[in-house]
Amino acid sequence: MDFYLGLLQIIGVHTLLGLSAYVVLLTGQVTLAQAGFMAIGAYVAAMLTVLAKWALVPALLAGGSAAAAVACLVGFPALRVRGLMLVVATLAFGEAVRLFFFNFDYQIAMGDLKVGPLGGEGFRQIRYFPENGWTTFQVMVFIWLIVGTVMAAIWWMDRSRAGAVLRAVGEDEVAAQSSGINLTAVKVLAMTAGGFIAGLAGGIYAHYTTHIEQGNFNIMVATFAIAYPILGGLSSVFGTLAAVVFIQGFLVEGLRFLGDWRNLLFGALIVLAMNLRPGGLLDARTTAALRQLRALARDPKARRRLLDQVASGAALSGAQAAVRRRIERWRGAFGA
Amino acid sequence: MIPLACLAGAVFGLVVYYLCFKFIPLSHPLATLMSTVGMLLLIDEIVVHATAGMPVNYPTLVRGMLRMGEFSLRADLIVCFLVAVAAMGALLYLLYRTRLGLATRAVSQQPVAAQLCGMSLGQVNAATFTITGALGGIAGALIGSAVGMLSPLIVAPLTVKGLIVTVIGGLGSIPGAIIAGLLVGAAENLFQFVRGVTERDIYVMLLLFVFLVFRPGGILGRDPAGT
Repeated sequence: MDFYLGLLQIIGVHTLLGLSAYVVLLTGQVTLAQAGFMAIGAYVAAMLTVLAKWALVPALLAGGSAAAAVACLVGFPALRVRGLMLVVATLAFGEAVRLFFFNFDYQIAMGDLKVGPLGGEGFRQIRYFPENGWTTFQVMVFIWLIVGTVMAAIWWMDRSRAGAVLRAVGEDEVAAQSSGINLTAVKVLAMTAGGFIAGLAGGIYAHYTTHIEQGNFNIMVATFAIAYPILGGLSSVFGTLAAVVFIQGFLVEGLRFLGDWRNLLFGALIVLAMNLRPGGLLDARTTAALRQLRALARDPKARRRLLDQVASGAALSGAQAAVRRRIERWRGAFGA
Repeated sequence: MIPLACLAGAVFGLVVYYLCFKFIPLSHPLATLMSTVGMLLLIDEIVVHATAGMPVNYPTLVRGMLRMGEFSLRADLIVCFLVAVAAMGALLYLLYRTRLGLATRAVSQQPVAAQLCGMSLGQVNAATFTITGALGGIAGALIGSAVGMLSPLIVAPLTVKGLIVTVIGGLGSIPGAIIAGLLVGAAENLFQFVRGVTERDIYVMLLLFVFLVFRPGGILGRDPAGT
């Protein structure tokens, strides 16, 4: 049972990480800085609970705010460049943060024990949960309360004017600018929001693993942060959740019985998934179809119409037509 | 050895094109990014699987030292340098003096217009990926012989440094890349001398940010917004 609770905790933290990249990706920016923000959030929150004896929630918020402040500062110079240059700039930032914590010593004697971050050895004894008697189940519920809140906030933001502005910048910067949107402000705000969420993810991560070190926040983590929203699709926050469940639940844990072969299959399945669903697992069309289904569930008349269609085989031929279209596209790609 | 690496790289480049780009519509640039990340993980894992995760020794190209007064240079590094310069020259010739190069540049600037002029996007892209793979193969062979061993882990820090040099020099500017390479190398050793090896790379990354703030186009770049 504890195994599944632990898995749910991992999925929760990775969902937050993915959501932090999701906000930035909406504006069309590919960033590899999320692991750096996560590291800042993790170290700040852990130092506040362990060294300054803060309560958990204020410490997490402070960690998130610290990461957001850094994200804002970094956003201004980094967002002057686009595309590949931005990827390099954010990658360099993430690595600089990691190397900073590799050199960061701040230890305080507590009783007969010295605690605090110690360079390459990392930061041990982040024992807030065990010291306060939290069970694994309580920790899991706590993590998912935060994930749920953040997800709801982004979902709501997505449907509001702010979401439309973010997507407008992501779709076409020139068009967005000519309709009076301040590109720099929007991008820096998205980066700041992403930094805050990544900082939260880092703070939670530090507290449930009880030991963090700079190696936990490397390029692979940054890559996974953008992998979740891209793999899941940028049409809604649930895509990111679906991708995290797919990667962490299925590819990492579900295929564990394959042993060594799991890692081989991991990359191959990502390539396959992107070929089959270039818009993500939950792309715009799937989201629209799900919305239609939900409308059907509410409207009995439309439901009857659909049932009639299925009975007469019309819905089936629609599915066949979709398959045929896909085969045509692939054949066209082969030039046959 | 190098021609073989070049050929293998070219074949892999073509394979990557077919697996990661061919069937993904152009309207999804993020999808191709992700599929190549998946490919990176796959290739890394195949190597780890084949070598049981152990670094493999790599033979040097030539043995011996070249002495010039007080200074001595490793002969194999000089060979690496010369081969790299030759590969760069070949690439420049290909890009600016052949029909394929013209088509490549046309497709990268205006894909629709290039297609209207009768170029096949698929063929040009496949050729570009083959060339990329060949160059990557040569680079891999050279790095392997310079470091003396092979492991999928050795490339990540080198790639980051290489990308930083490209940005500081100005994307697409070859003289800029040379100047930036020398500058970053010198700065790296200076910081290592002043602050020690563990803090060295932080300052190199900060150098990049200084350039992003004051000269986002790089030393010799013309396009300040990047691409």
